[in-house]
Amino acid sequence: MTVSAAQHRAEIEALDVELESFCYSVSHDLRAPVRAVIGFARVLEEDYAALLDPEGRRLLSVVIGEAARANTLIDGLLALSRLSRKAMQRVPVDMASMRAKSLSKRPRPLD
Amino acid sequence: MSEFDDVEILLVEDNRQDAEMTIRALKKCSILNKLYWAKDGVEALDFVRCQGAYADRDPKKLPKLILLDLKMPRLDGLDVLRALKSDPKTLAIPIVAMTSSNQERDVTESYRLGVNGYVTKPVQFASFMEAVANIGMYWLFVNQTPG
Repeated sequence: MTVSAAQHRAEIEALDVELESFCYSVSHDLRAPVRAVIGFARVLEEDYAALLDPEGRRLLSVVIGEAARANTLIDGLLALSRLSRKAMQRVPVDMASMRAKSLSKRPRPLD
Repeated sequence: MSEFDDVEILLVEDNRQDAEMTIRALKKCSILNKLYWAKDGVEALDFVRCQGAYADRDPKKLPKLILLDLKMPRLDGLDVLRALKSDPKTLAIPIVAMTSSNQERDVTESYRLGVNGYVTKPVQFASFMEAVANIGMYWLFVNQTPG
C-alpha cells in the first residue's frame, strides 16, 4: 500500500503543530517552577543566611546551582526545537580555513 | 468610596510564587503601598470595571499600571488586554505583559491588542527583581497618562 504525498504532508504538518505546542509548554510551564526554586532559594539566602551555618549555606548554593542548570537545559531544548523547524541552509564552506581555525584553537603541546 | 480606591498597581497573576516575588521586588523599591493582586483575568476585569466584589469602587479611580500575566485560568491575559484596550474608559491604563512566554506569536498578538510593554520574566532572581523595579519606577514615576 502506498501513502500519498498529500497524506505525508498532512502528517508532517500535524507533527509540527504538536511540536510547537510542546515547546510552548516547555517554555512556559517548566520555566515557572525553576524560576520559583531559584527565586525562593535566593530569598532564603537574603533573609536567613545569618541563621545558617557554612554547611547550610553550601546546601542552599547547590539548590540554586542545580536549578540554574535545569534552566540552561530548557534553553537548550528550545534552541534545538527552533533549529529543527528551520529549513536547512546550504552554503559553500572553505574547508582549509576552517581547519586552520580549529587547529589554532587547539592548545599547544608542552615543550 | 472603597478600600480599593487608592490602588495604583494592579497585579494580575495566577502563580502565587511569581506574585510573591513581584511584590517583594516592588517592596524593595518602596512602591508597594498601593498594590492589589488579582488572581485571574475575571477578577482583574471586575476590579477595573468596578463590578462584582468591587462594585463599591470609584470607577474614576483607575490603576496607574497593570502588570498582566498572560497564561491564566478562567480568562487569560490576552482576553483581559483585548477587553481593556477596546474600551475607551480603560484604554489609557498602561498595561505591561509579564510572562514566562517569549513566543513570538504572544508578543505580536499583545502589541496588536495595544499592550504598552512586554517583558519575559527573567529566570535569574537578580534580573527578575531589577526588571520589576524598573517597570514600577518607569510607569509610576516617569510616565504620564491623560487626566
